[in-house]
Amino acid sequence: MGKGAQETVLRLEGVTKRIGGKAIVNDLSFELKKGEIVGLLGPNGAGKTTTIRMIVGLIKMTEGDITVGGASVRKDFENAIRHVGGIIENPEFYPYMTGLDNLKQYQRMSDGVTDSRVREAAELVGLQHALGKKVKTYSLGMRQRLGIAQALLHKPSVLILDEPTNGLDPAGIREMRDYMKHVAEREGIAILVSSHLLSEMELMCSRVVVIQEGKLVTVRAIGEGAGHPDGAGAGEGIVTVSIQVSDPERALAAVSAMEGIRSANRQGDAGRLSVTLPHERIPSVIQLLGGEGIGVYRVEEIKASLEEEFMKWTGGNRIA
Amino acid sequence: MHKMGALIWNEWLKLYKKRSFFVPYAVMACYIGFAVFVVVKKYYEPGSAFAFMDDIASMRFVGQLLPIVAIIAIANVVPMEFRLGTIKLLLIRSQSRNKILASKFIVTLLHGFSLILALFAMAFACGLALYGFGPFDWAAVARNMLDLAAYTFIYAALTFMVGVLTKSSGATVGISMFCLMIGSLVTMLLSQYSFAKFLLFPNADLSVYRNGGQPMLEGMSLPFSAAVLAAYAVVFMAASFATFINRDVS
Repeated sequence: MGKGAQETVLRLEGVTKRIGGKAIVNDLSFELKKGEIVGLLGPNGAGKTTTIRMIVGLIKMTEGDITVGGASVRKDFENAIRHVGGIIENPEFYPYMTGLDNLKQYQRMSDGVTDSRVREAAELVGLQHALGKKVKTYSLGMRQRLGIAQALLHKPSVLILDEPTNGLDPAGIREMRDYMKHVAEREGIAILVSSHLLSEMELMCSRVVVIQEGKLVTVRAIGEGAGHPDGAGAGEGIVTVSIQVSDPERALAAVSAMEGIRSANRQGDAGRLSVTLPHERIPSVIQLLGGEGIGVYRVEEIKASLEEEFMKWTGGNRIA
Repeated sequence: MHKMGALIWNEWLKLYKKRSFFVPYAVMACYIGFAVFVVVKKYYEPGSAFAFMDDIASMRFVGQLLPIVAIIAIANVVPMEFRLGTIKLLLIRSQSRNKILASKFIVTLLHGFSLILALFAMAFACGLALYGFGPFDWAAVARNMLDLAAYTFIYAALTFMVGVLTKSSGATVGISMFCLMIGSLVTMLLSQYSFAKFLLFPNADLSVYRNGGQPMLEGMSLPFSAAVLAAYAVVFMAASFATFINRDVS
């Protein structure tokens, strides 16, 4: 990923969880480097939640190990977990206590969290004026922000977020995303986030780890050319375009014979061709079609969204 | 035990900040108020402040109530974390599950002791108001307190364990109350069998041995009952800790 020099803060090695002989998570390995946001993707039941919960020690792993900041979750839990901040599903608090009382609960449980750090964390998420109110009066968005504050309280090096945007409205989702980007860039915190909102992941993550049936399917970078439907040729100016023509049969024959064309296929029934070629060859394709007397109605770039890729990776037989 | 004090303080705040915290104290106060009324009406005449306190704060009267009112709070100590979902934030701190459960258990006991102290304080105050200060048999008071503490402790430990096992406060209240209620009935039904004396219920009330009193079943003595209670307490604790430490939270 071109960031090999960055230090690894979270590493999963051959992590396996078996319940009653069935492997929920099977030999899963991946790692997170400082300051990167990685998405954990998979269809329902793929083992995302189990994986996240094994990282934070809520679920015990059957085999393998997870290290955080060099400490093993298995053998040295208290030292491993001190580098981790987590929001597991919706953050839940003691509703009959104030926001401040809730934060103080977690302040007392960690080393070196001062009162000014508690205030700082509350200010980061803009809750400083609501700290004196009981949490039962908070909206879901405010609870979500308090969740971020509690996760950042002890200055972790990794944030683990399980479905953090569940139940949030679009504004809340956007706010959450901005906070994530902010803490990753400004504080160098690595973030692992599981979500089924693929478009969200696309906007937020620099890499995605895709799992299915508890196994690793692929690890992909997001961004620069990664939207290419074949996943190959990223960054080389190779694009795939959809061309709507009057005579697809002849057009296909003509285009296929051209130099520099990577692939050309019929696409659907609407007289469309899907052509993969270098960016600078597009004008000559259109010239050629014009010269052959074939009408060109539309030329559009096909940019596979993460969703389409996801369907391909996971066989597309299940809804994420 | 790094941070143990902080953990205990956390747990105490979780109990104390609840509006229902004062309910058990209020229930006991009502009972004692009723007893004062009965004395004032001369339906019952203990004769001295000490006698009043010794009667009221004993297994014969309000003391019997202690585990029942204690259960209200104890049944929530562990199940509440699961019901609210806060268990997920509680267990991802740099503290072992052992320490977290230990802090919860210690607070459970502190709560029980606070109820006993409140009971004695209220009974003492009312006794003074009724009769003024007279001769007090402090050894008897201490013995009474210990008996109540043992009785409250063993049911507190049972409730705590049921809470850890079921994760549900409703089920915990139900099961613990049921155990309290059927105790004497079960003892009676099984009294013909010799194993009955190893049951929890006939041993829970150590006050029966006071003043040379007779135990419920043959072959029982104060050291015997104390040992049985200790064994039950160890089993309850072991089951609670083993379950809590190995549980997958999903």
